[in-house]
Amino acid sequence: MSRLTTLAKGVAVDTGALAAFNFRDMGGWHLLTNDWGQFLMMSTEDFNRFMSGKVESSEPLYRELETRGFIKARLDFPQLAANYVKKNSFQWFPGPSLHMIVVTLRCNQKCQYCHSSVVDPSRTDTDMDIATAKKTVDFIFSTPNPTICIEFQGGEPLLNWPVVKFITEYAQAKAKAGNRKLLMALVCNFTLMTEDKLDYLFDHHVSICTSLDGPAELHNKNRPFLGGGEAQQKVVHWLERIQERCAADEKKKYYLPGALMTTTRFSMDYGPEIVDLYVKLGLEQIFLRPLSPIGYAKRVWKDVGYEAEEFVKFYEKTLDYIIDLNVSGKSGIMERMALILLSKIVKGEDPGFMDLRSPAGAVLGCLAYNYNGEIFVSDEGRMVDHQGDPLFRVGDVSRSDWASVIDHPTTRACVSASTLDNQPMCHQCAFKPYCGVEPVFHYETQKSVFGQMPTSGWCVSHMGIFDVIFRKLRDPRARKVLDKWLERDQCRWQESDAVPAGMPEVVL
Amino acid sequence: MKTKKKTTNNAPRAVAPQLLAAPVPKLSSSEASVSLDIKAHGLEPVLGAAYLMMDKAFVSLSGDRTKTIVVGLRAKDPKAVKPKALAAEFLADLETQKVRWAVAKNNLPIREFIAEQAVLIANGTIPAPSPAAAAPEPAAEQLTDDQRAEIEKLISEVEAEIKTMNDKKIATDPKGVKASWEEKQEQEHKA
Repeated sequence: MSRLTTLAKGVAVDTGALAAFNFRDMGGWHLLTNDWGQFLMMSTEDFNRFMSGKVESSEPLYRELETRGFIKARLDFPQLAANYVKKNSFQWFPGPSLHMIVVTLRCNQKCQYCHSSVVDPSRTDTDMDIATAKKTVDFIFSTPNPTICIEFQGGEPLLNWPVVKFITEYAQAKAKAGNRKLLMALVCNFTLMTEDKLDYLFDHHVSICTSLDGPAELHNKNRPFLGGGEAQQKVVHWLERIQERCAADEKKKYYLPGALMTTTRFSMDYGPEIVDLYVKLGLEQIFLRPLSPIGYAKRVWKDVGYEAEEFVKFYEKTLDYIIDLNVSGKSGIMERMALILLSKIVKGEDPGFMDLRSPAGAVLGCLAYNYNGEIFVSDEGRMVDHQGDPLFRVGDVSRSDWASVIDHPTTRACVSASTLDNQPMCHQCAFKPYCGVEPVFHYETQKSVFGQMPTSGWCVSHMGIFDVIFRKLRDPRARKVLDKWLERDQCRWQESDAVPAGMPEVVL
Repeated sequence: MKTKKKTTNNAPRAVAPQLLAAPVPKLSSSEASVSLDIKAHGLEPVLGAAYLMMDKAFVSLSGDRTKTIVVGLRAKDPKAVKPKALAAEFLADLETQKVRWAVAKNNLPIREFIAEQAVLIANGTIPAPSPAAAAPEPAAEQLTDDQRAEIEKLISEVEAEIKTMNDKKIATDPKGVKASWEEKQEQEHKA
């Protein structure tokens, strides 16, 4: 599945007349894409005529090919360059926008797949202190991107609530003083949420996201409390409570909580039940995320993991179910991964997803800060460090400045490895304009930041998902639903853009 | 300026696959090997096709990369795939690799030019085209000789410029990516 496809035997090709493009045999039809983010789905017969230079300029197909930059003699350079600018908008802002702060490694859950390398709640020595928090915020504000998004992570961040509050207020004061655009988000398991904390988060414009893996029997199996107990009921309670409060106040409509699900081996038979729960809770989106064999999850992979092909099957089956719900009018729930890819493919825009960019988000788009002030290329890089390998550590808030972090050899290696034009298979792949590779994932699974794409689980799962999405785009029934999702997503972003720099904003 | 250009470089054209004599693989019970003339097939397509086989086969390369390379293929799962099938798949990949590499090489200056234009638009040096200003232009076959000559001149200028840029020792931080927020603010104030 992860292989590039071949040309049919005997197809004549006039390569001198062909513009730069990649292609993929989708089984009965072909997909063409180019560096400028344009795509065209065409019958195999038309594809073969195109390859041999036999599409006549009087044909409607010629016009289609021309407007999308596939006819070499008819390239509209300024327009293609403008498409490239829009598609790669993340490249034009210097420095990272996403800053993940691990305020503690402590956690009161013991998740089967935990990526985050947590420790027991008694280990207060892994809490970030105020002095480190201040230096972390100072470092973040020294990075050059005008927009800053601070995300609290853990461990369970609510276990170090005073530092969450300090960072929130200090960062907001700095944003106001420096006229920077600031967004703040808290990722927590809700088990320690209280009305007081919720009031504080609302008052300080901190958006909230949690983990919800599905029905109680699945969620509690994936994410048990330390010492036993029911975790899912707490999550459901607080999701409902926050929605209640948002519904009661128009100003809070952007604070509707988000939930993330992680797919384990146990999730495979639960696709519709997971979606039904999200619908029942009134959640607008579900993000069908694969599990990554990084950190602790790598050690327990044989118990909770699966083959990439299995995930793709799960993804397609569950997406079909979601689309059916939309078609029947029973729910308008959207799938987040599909939405991310559709923004790239159909709208030619970058939705800010760090994993699927070229080069990847590591340092250029995001940084992770450990409780002790160490700086990592990403949160996954921090997890590798927790397992005893400091490769992805690029600095320390006490000693490093931005110049040393961006110039760090690890930063350079990650950027080089995740630039798809440097990857022997990716640079010829039809999904290149929309895809990305993750150096930490490949270091963990293949012992190389570059990886080896023909045998990479990352490549198999992402190519599989792209195949699914392009098949849906060619299916008129599914396409109608997907177009509607894009319209709704557009509206949310447009409404959010009204918030001026220096004022607190929420993460959507 | 909206410019549509007809490219004129003399980069290689792939020969239609049916015109090439397909290399004949040597088969044993456990391995296939294919001897390839690099001048006929090109180094990149051979390496590219070999790389793509790595999900199914252990791949070995031997020989002289300027003359002849022998690609050895041994199935990772010998029960699932036989040497003959591996060789057939490799040869099909090789033919497609030739096309992919020829298209890539032919279009390298164009891709570089558009990427450079994108940088100029992004940093405000040149304006982005407005959709309203885009008017239909004559197809390449309708261009006059003068227009063709002008376009060819433009393309060679761009190619020369790209070559000069690549050759130049670029300063350590020409785009100022290492500058902190404060340094950038200071520079803007000075400007």
